[in-house]
Amino acid sequence: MNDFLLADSFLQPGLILISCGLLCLIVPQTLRRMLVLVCPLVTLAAVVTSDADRLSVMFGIIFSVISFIAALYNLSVKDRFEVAAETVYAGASVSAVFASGWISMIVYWELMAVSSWLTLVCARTKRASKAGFRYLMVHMMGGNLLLAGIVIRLMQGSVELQCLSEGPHDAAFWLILAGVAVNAAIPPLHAWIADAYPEATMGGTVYMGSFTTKVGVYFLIRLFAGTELLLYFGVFMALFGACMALMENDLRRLFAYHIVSQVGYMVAAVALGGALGIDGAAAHAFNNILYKGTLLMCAGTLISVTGKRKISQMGGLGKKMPLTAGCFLIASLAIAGFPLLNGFVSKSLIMNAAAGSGIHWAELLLMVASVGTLMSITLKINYFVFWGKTDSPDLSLTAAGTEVSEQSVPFSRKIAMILGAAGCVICGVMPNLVYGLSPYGSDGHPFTVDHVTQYMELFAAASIAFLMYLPHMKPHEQITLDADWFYRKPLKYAVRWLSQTVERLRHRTGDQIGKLIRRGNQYLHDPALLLRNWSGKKPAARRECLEDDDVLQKPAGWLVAINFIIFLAVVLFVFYNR
Amino acid sequence: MGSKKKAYLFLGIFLMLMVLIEVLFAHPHYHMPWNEIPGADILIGFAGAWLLIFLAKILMARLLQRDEDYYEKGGGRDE
Repeated sequence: MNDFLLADSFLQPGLILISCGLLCLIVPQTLRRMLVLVCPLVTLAAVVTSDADRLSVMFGIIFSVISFIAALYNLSVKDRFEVAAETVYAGASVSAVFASGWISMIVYWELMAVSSWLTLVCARTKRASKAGFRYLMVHMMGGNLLLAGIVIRLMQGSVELQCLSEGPHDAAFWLILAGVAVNAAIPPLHAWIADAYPEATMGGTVYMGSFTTKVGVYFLIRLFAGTELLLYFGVFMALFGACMALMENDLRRLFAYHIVSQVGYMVAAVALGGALGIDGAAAHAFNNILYKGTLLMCAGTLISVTGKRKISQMGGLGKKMPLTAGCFLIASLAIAGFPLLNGFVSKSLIMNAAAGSGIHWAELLLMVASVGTLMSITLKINYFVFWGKTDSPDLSLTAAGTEVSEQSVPFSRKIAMILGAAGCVICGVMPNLVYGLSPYGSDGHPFTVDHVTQYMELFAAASIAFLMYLPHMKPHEQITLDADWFYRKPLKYAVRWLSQTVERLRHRTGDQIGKLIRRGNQYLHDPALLLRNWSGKKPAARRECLEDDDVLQKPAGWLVAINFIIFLAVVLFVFYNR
Repeated sequence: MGSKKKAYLFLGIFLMLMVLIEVLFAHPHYHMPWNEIPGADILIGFAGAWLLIFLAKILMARLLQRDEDYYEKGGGRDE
């Protein structure tokens, strides 16, 4: 058993952030602010000096950097529970990518799920609470699939994490892949992302957009590099996310779909495998965290200042919020893949990997997905929210009808947005910074004439199509159904029908059976009643727990408790059977 | 001249310039079938954009878009 524990490393750089998050619950606000800024930097130092492999270090570096930027963005937040949940979430993510064994992977994986759920529900709204319950359901399902796969691997004698794509495609392979696919938001397991992310606090969304899916990508790289099946899913994700974003009206929900689209590039690159594919996936995750973080910070600032969350309710805000608009413009150009910005640097690697492997259809469709990103973020949001002509002057006012101004935006938020945008430019102008960190150090040769002209031609041609369709491009005041429909509508009605049917059955069969069961239940709880009843004493009425509203109103608590018990039982079983 | 026409003109000139640079200076690292045709990326960009507009704004919008209170309709909690 000791060998078993030694083989798995629980002592990770991420523990610094986890400890910091727990400390945030008890220390005063000033110290809390210092802690959340200093701890990511200490974690960064621990990551850089660690002896882990390049892939772990690369993800550890960007997780530490975005933890610092997000903490800076969230510095004005007074809710200690939110700050604690976010910091523990960041720490669990760093620890997950430093896990060397299956056990530490699942422990930090589950910690991520719970801390990200807490981050979400810290918004303290009814919508966040409902979305949080669905989020938890999906992630507990994913966690249990992963756990089942890991248990099989442990039974087979495998303790250390190892690439599964080259081994047999057994039950462990599929279970672990399904578990990781939930976090990587691979369809049809992706709907939680657009359901949950828009309901978190402004800072919470920045954390959520940076960690869960990227940890999923990390484990796809680590465990499933070269799995051909993932190529179809990756290309589909890139296109599907762009299409959903083209329709979407809710600002943060739109970005959630773009996470699906961008992760699609990474999943496709993982499937292509080889040095170029792996470096492309890792570099794109690295860059994506920077530009997506910046976009989510800008969106959060927009929503905080205007009190609106829908694109159709905004317009002409570029001149009123120049700093936010400027940072947004840079990050939106980066996500599309404009030269001299970081998205271009990593997309070049992925395109080279696709072209080098001779899979022309994948490269072609990923190019089309880039066009979708350009239209749905760079052109659509910059035009309708910031720079385009507005139909109504109300669009450029806040929800309360006052003038929009950046003066109310905390200074720390402005600095955080600037840092994010600067990161996009620095990594775009100096691509070797990212290439140098990637696992194999591949060079994407981004600034060759063919690469630059290719993207410029694509984007200019797509802009012409966008202009032609401009009158119909404005999003409608509607929602778009996604795979979450299945558990929000049919499943809801199925559960309701089932409970009503059972209730009717109970009434029809009369209270006799119920009485019998209740009596049996009483005897089971207190066998001494049998003796007392024979002696003629009437049993005292027991409290009827099943009809207690409090119990039924707390399914999330039950879910966590049951999952924890199952998890504990499996871990104990594995330990004592070795 | 309207701002939209100016935008078309600018994009048209920009595209011609890009094709010229591609023809004169580009040496692709990887040869894809469409690299043989100068300016093929313009066609991919334009056709791809219309394909996505058709898929998203026409086909998927009709199938998937609902009123904003869709999930609140029918009563009860939606968990």
